[in-house]
Formats: sequence, structure tokens, C-alpha cells
Amino acid sequence: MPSHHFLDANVLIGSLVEWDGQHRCTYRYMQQEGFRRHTSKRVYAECADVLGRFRRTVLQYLEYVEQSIPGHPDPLTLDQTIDRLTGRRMRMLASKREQNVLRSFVRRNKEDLRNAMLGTEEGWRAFRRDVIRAIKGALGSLDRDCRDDPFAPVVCHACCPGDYDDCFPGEKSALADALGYEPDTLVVPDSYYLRVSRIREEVCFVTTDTIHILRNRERIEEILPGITVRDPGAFLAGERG
Amino acid sequence: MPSPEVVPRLIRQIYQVRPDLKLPEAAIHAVLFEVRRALPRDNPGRERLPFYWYTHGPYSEIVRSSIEDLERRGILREETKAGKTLLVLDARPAAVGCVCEDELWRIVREIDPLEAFINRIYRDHAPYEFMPRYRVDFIASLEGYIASRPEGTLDQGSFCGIDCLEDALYACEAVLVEEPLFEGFNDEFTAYVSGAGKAFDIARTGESAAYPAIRATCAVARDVWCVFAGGVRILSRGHDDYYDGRLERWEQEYRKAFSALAPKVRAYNRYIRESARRTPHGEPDERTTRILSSLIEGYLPG
Repeated sequence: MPSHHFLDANVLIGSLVEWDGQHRCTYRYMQQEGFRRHTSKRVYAECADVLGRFRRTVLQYLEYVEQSIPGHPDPLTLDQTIDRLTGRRMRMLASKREQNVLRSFVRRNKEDLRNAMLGTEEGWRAFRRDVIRAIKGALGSLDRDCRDDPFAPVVCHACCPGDYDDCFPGEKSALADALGYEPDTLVVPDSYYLRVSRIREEVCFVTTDTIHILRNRERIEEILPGITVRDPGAFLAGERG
Repeated sequence: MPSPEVVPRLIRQIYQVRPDLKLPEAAIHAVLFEVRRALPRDNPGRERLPFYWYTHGPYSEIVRSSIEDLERRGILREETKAGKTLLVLDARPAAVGCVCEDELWRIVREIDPLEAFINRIYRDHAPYEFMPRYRVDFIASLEGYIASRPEGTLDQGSFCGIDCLEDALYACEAVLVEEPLFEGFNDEFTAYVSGAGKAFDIARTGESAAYPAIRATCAVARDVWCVFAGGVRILSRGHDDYYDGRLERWEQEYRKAFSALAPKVRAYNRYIRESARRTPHGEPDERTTRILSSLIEGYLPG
């Protein structure tokens, strides 16, 4: 296995907290030593965008709920009220991903949400501040771990070109056909660009994206010589994520 | 089509009520916006004063051209005071009557302090909640915060002000305009909010980086507002029908301004990120960890 790894956004995001979800392997993968981890400015920007959108989705939802609930909600029907308002707000969201984020947030924080709705304005504000603090902490952690600095836990390279039309036109077009998902036709070549221009050794592209990348692993490895594609679970001895 | 005489007459009447007034042009637009609102629904004067929402509040091209006309006729002149251009009476106008005399008297008497008058118009009449929250609660407060603290005085005693400003900014993000035209803008706004959150943390340290970080936050906040204001007038709630013929040109202008905004926000975030290197960070507690993991769980496909 190559000792240089290029991390996709889902690995960086997934490793921000130690959690018990299906993607727990991302956190444990980041605890493993023996790899030199890299990523690109593009991936960093994607992570920051994702975290910002988490905050926006939840703040908009909390605002919507606050404006919609009666002054003194009935505790006996509060769960139905939350479900109804959540359903309505989800229908306003165009992106399936944002819907999933909101659904998961409400499901996992229902008790806090219920208490905030039944409590004082200060309690509601405190809950909102905790949401903000959670995202701020994640953004701070991303900034600390992922820097354009050879000693950073994840070296964030700022040298990758904006697109690969001039640099690797054939590879980009072949990837577009194989992946069918435009953003990945830039992120995957970032790893190849770094392999060729900076690292000059084999690089493993680490991702949890099954639909666009892991499923097309062999084709990507064929198009981009010297790149291997793996999910983080592949590096955990004796277990799979 | 508005009658060319009605609006200059209304403007002259503002100064007839208070000949000593020195008003920025935006205030004249705001006064006449209030006058128009006070007119009965069937009053033809309403159509003669079409407005759209722009950078400094409600704006009317009819009012603009009437001011130019009054300047040409030597009734109004511009005066610059502390870097601000104010419109003052140059020649006492002959008494003029108007259909809404009582209302105009009332409004002109209520315009002091001017900033509060304009803020009230935003709060009571802006078509989107985002506008008063961002223009009044955030930008005006941030400008006031900076003005009241000369360079080098953003010390730890300023925590309260910083907390309020930060809360105000997140309150804006909660009410972004959810229209297709603003999809890209909202993403840039969110990127800006993430950077500003770090800038407020830098400000809390009271280090030398604090003042420039807050100044940069304010400068980008104004750029963001200008782009927003160029876009909101395009939406049907942002303008009167009179301006329908301008929409195509406005949209081109908006797209151009928006594409110039993205690199500014990126540069700001880069600068803040560099400045925030040594900012202390708190450890997450059980609730913030649960919140974050719930969001990540929803984001990553199962």
C-alpha cells in the first residue's frame, strides 16, 4: 500500500468527531499512523462549504420553528408539532443532502429541541449557540489539521490548477465518462497532479464515496497510473467500516 | 408616467416644513417613500412615486431626477460635511401645497435622528427580514462598534459588543432570501459568516490582529450588502411595476457584481484563517459533539 494518502472531503468531514455511525471508520483511520496525508485547497474549500451549510440549514430550521410554534406549546402534542414543522421545512429544501442533514439533526437532538421549545427564550438561544459552537469547533479543527504546511497532520496543497483542461485533458474526459459526476472530475485529478508534480510516489485516494468513486475504483486506477483508490476501512487492521 | 411637477413639489415641501434641514439624498427618498405609503390606495400620487429597494433603502429614479432638477433651478445645493454629501436649501421656496400636507409635516417632524428614521423604514417595510437584520442590526452596529473604538482598543472589555455582533450575523444567516436568484449569493454569504465567526474569535483575544480583522470583516460586509441590494430590487417584492423594464439590465449588473464578490470573500477568508492561527479553541462538550455528529451522519450517505 502507498504511504502517501490523498483525503477526499467525506473523510475529512467524517473524522471531525468520534461517533458511532456507520462511518466510524473515518475517525479511527485518522488515528492510524504510518501514512503521509495530503489534500488539496479544493477539498478544504468543499469541507468548509459543507460545514457552513450545516449551520445555515439548522439556523434556518430553528428560525422557522421559532416563528411557527405557538407561545405556549402543548407538551403532550409537542412531538407531533416538531414532526409536522420538520416535514414542512424539509419540503422547502431543494437538496436531498440538506434534507438528510436536517432529518438526522432533528432525530438525534429531539430531546434538546423539545426542552428548548418548552423552556425560556434564553434556553432556546443557548441551544442555537451550541449549534453555532459545534460548527465553529469543526471549522477550527479543520483549519488546524489541514494546512499548507509540511508538518500539518494533513498537508493542504494550494498548487493544484483550477481545472485540468490544459494539464490532463485526456484523463479528465475519461474520468468524466467513468464517474458521471462533475466535482469528482476535479478532486480525483488533484491527487494525480500531486503525485506527478510533488509527491512523485504512488498515492492512495481515500474516500467513503461508493456511488461515484469506490464503485469505479478499477477504472480510475487505469486512467490515472500510480493512483490507487480505497475506503478508509481498508487501513483498519481486522475490521471494516 | 409620473407627472414631472408632483415630486419636486413634495421635495420643496420637505424644506418648507424645516428650512434648516441638511439631508443626505437617501433621506429624501425615505421621506417620500413614507409619504407615498401614507397616501390612500386609490390616490394617483402613489403611481407617481415608484420605488425600488437599493443600497441605502427605498430609492426612486423620479426622486433622483427631481433633485437634479431642483439643483439646476438653484433651489437645492449640495454641501459636504465630514465626508458626507448633504442636500440643503439654496433659496427659500415659495409656499407650495400638496395633497398630503399633514402626512408630510408629520413625517418630516419625525425624521430625527435620521439614522433611526431610516432604520425604522427597514424594520417596518423592507420586503425581506434579512434586510433590517443585516443592514441595521449587523452592519450599522459593526460600523458603530469600530467608530467607537479607535485602533488598538479592541481589548477584552469589548466582549459584550463582539458577542452581540456575532449573534446578529448568525441571525441574518437564519433568514436568507430563499429565491433561486440568491442561491449563489447565499453560499457566498455562508462562507463569509464562517470567516467572520473566526474574525470575532480573533477580536476576543485582543491581539494586534484583532483590529485589522474586524476592519476587514466590516469592509466585506459592505461589499456583500451592495451585491445583495443589487439583487433584491430584481425580485417582484423589491420594486414597483414601473421598473419592470429595467430588470434585464439589473440582472446583468447583479451577475457581474456577484462574480466579483466570490474572490473577495475567498481572499477575506484566507486572510482571517492566517490571522486565526493562534486563536485559542474550547473543547467540545457532549451536546456540541452530538449536534455535530448528527449533522455529519446526515451528510455522509449510509
